[in-house]
Amino acid sequence: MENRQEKLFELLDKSGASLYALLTKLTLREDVAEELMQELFIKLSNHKELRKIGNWNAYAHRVAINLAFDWRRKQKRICLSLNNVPEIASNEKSPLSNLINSEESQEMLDAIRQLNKAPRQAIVMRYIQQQPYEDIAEQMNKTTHQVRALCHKAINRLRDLLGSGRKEIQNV
Amino acid sequence: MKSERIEEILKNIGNNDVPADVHKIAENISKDFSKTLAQPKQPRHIVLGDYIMKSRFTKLAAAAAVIIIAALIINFQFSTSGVAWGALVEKIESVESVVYRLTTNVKMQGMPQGQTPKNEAIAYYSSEYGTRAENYINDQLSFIMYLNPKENIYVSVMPEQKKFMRFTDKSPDELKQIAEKDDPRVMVRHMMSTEYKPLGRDKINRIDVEGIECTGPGVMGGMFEDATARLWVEIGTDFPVRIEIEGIVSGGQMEMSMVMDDFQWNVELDPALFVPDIPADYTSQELSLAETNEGTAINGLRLFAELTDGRYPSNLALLTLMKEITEALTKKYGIKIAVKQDEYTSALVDILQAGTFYVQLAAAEKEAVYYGDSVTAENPEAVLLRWKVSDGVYRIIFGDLTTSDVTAEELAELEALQPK
Repeated sequence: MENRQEKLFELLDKSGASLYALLTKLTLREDVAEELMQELFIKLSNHKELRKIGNWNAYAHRVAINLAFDWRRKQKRICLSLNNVPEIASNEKSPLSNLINSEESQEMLDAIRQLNKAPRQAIVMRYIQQQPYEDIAEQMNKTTHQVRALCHKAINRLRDLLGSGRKEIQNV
Repeated sequence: MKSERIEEILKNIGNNDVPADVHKIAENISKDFSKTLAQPKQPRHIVLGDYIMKSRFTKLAAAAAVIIIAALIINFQFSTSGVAWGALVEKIESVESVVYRLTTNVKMQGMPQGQTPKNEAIAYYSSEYGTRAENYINDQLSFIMYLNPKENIYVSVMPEQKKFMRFTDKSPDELKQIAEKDDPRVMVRHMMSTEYKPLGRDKINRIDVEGIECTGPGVMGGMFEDATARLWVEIGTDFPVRIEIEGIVSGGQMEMSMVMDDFQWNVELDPALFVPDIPADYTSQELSLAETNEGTAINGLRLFAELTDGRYPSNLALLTLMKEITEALTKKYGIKIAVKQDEYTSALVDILQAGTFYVQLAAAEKEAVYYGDSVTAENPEAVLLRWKVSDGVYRIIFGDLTTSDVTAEELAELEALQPK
């Protein structure tokens, strides 16, 4: 049990910030990221076979991705208005620009949610966490070619999901 | 949203740094947390209480408290009456016989519920005598399958049609592999060897059970594109009482759920059950199941392309392939499968070789990748299927079904030119 605690706190120490940042990017909500961070560590603590996990950091990030998209699944899309801009990371741009960006981000993240688990993880690791293919392959226990193919197919699927019949916000 | 801006938008999300102070706060909390718990002389609950009061991330701190409590509970459960998951595989492997019921449900997009037939099978497995599976469609006995690798028996008997089908050309090892596909003992072994999450305790038919769940395309050995499997084991006896599998095919156009229950472990079975019972007036159909290899896979792909004017199966997952073969045959000939059983079976067996070959490559971890969703016979130089044959060397089946060996660098160049 002590070993379990030590590992969890070591993980929190080393990866707490990056896990929190990832959850913020995937939910676009700091308050939700905080809730999910809590849920993540409860899940990890309840995992009965922690000894079998080889790479704690990779495992925690995979669970974080699943939690974020589970949360998105439960959410009904909220129609954005100028008074209802979610808290996104950067505030350097104008409020209107932020609105456009966040609308695009929301649409994109909702589309990623509809992907199967493996392509979803690959796309998040590659584009949102910006990891090299080799690292993703190692964490997903796949080859780099398989990861490339997963990303390639996922992008095509996202194109299908987002390509037609979607509303665009006009820059007025 | 412009579809061509997808990569740009994705990268923007990735580049969107969370504010620096949030990073710092998270880091500080993590460090403080670890330090707090590292103080051995202070009563832990008071330190945590202080911490929780001070922290801006009170929920995160509360989570840490839960970690400690949960760790205590888990430790307690492990040492008392939980399922001994670690020993489960060994226990199941030692089982000599098992009888169970398998119920299968299929949902097809666009097909109203209730129009798909009810499928049920009663399976008998014996390590000594082999397998007998009685298959019922809408409560009517459809066929009985007998499989005994030791005696080289693989026969299906169809009472309604007064026919029997004997499968030939399979070695005992290959028959053993076929038998293992539906063997619950093998399923349990697979599930326990993959990453799984605990589901906690529940009751099934008043039996106290504990469950685990696995997800991923490998859960059923390539049968589905993606699948979830749950295993429920009786607390006390440590024998499985229910296995649930849900898989998707064709990107979710077809969903299949399977439930294995009514298990009877180590039950005494009459050897006569495993001897094919074929009345004298039944007619036979010999069916050759040739060895699966690159040649049979190419033949399967060619046959499919002939049926579909140059298109290849979109995916080589076996159920997707079966669905697409059925659709292609129906579209090409307008046949009703029920009255053209022989043609259907023959095409199915030959084309499925492509899927079986792919499953074998995947099982052997040969880095197999299939591009049938974007490559047709009109892309003769595109990579249709490739796999690794040795260090740095890959075998390719191209869009025109010719083959070649290439280096990893050459493969990368070819794959960069794949049609979108």
